[in-house]
Amino acid sequence: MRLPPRHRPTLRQLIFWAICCDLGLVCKRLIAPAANLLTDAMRIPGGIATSFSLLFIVIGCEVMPFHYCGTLMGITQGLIMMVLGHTGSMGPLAIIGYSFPGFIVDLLMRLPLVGKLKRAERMAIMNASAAACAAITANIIVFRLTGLTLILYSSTALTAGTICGWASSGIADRIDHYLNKNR
Amino acid sequence: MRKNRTLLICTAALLLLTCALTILHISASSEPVAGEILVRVGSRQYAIPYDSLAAEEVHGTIINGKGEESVINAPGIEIIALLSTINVDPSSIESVSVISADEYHAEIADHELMESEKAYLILWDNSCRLVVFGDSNSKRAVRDVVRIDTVSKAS
Repeated sequence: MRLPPRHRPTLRQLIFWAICCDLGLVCKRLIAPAANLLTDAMRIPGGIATSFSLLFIVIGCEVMPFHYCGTLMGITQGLIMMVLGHTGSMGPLAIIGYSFPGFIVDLLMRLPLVGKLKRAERMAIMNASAAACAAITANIIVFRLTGLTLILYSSTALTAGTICGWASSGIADRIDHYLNKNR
Repeated sequence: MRKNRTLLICTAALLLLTCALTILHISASSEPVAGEILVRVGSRQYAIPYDSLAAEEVHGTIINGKGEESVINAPGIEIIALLSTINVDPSSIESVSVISADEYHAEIADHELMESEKAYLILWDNSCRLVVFGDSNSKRAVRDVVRIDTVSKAS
């Protein structure tokens, strides 16, 4: 399925965009305790809940008509968390940790090869790449893991991102119908 | 989630890879024993029970990233004193890495090791915790410390 052409967003789309930004942050906080049980058992730092929050950025980029949607969503999320004081170990660098995955999603959206893929495959690739990017960014800023631990940490992020991206394609199909039905 | 054979195969492959890496990682890392700290000096490693630590009362204040102060009032031991218990010359150490159960770690440089009343391991809630006084945030407040790795100075 080819991507729809980009155009000026409607109010309905912008409201949905804002909801996606908030849902991503809320879901991350909700899922984190359960996700950390898994990462504690694997003896790696937590953070796979980020893959779930990136799902909303990927949905937003898939159904929203404007460029740099992912980067803007990431920056918005980063600013919200900084204002709320929930930056965690990253501190002021959290803005980079939130915006860089969104930027990666935007980059992938621009690739012709990615645009030609089926929706499920495209969203799985975008979510997996964004999750891996978030994991590597967190490693550079905070954890500084090396060797096998880093490979395992990245692999976990890729796997969680792929599963979340695949799941998000079903959500995007339903939302797209209601959000863009007049286009 | 519609059926998609390619995605199914890729997801299954990633899951298998992650499981294999997890097994390798857990078998390669030393099993942390409750109530003990593992100290690695070069190729040697020492398991030090909490009970054997000559802990003294540690008093002080630490600050987190939001500027909030926390009072520390618990038994603990300076890192330099801990190394001395296993006959390690602190002046031969370039840096020390304090590692928690989930591999989160913090570095302590040699000059900080030598500084008096700076870096402590405190006994907190049946586990060990790193406290570095004077830090402007809590990045080095490693909880559930299981291992300390030392890096020796090049001779």
